[in-house]
Amino acid sequence: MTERELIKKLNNLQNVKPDASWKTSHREILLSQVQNTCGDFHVSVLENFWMVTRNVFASVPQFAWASVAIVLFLTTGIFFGDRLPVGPNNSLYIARVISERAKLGTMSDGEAKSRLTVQYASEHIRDIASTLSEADNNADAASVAKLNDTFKTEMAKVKDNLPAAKISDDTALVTIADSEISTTGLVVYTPGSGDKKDAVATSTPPVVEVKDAKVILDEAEKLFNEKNYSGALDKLDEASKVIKQ
Amino acid sequence: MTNRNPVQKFKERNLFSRLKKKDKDAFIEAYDLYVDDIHRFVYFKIGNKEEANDLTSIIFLKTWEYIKNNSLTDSRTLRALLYKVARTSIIDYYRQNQVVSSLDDDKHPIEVIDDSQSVIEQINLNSDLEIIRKKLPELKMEYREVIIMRFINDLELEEIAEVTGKTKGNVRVLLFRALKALRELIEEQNKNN
Repeated sequence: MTERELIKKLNNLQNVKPDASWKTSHREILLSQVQNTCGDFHVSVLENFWMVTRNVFASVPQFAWASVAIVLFLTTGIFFGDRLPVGPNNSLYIARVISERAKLGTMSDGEAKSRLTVQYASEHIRDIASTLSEADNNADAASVAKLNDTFKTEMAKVKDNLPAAKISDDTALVTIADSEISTTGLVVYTPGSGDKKDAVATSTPPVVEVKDAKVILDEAEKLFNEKNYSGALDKLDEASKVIKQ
Repeated sequence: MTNRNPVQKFKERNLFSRLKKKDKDAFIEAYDLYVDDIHRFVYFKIGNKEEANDLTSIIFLKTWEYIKNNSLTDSRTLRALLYKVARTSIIDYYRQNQVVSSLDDDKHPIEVIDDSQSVIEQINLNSDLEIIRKKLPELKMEYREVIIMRFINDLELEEIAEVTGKTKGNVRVLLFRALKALRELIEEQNKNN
């Protein structure tokens, strides 16, 4: 007989029980004896609530609570993380990045995915530039270097995804709000001047005041490398407007 | 062996918390929950059904007396408390009666109450019981005790350690030796047959 077989046989002995009649009669005797002792039992609602809560926490294994906490953290991060107003130096930033990646991972439309990638990456760039512009001279060199690297990575990501997102082609032209159709063709107003001049032909391209997004990003990168963070931020704002159109 | 699930653990903890407040209804619920286990523990330790009935009654009354007069801070679980009272009651019983350990003799066979069992299961159970009936009393008292608590009544190692006043490691070693001793006794009998 193996140990396992012996244990199984011993487990079978759990079915040995006292007579039901003895149990019932003894229960009644016990009940009457117990009822005759000490006063009534009273527990307030609040006391009962704490008792139950404490026992629930004590009955469930700690690793189960830890798992629930992790799942809650990830769920919150996935659904709300991209709305968190946190910068790269914040500990919740990782939740935001996880959330963004999760959202990108669920997208199947290539163009929309690229557009969202550009949007997230440009937001990261803005955050990095903003953090560095606020950092004083005593800032940790290692973290500054890390932010610089991240900036370059995110910038490359934006530039790579711009053609796929079909942003630069559409937004390289001035918006139609600055023009109007007349009988002579497309009438173009010089932005801000208020003067009108008739176009020679309807095919004449409108005056291009808004630059290509890639050009603006290049300028922003240049300013960033020169540590002109406020200038870079202005350029990034300009690029963001173009990208969002 | 089945481990108790969190719902059962919660129920037991809640019952124990209520007993700390001297709740009489909680004690009757505890009786319903544990009477089979305590009776079985007593029965396999003293080996006589009638005396197991009497002793089980005494154990529950003593436990209620203890609950009434104490704050129950020295026991971590209700089961551990009941087994501690059962253990001391059995020791008292031995002191008073000076009995020789044996399970019920052939004239008074053990009654197994379980309507859900098939005839084959019932026969198997009786055969297992027969082996234990003959061989369990031959084991040292402390071996017998840990085997009953762990493998028949399904107590956790921590609870056995609390009831016996030993460390978890000691209980584990004791269980290993007890099982080995019981297995040797059974194999010896099989050879003789």
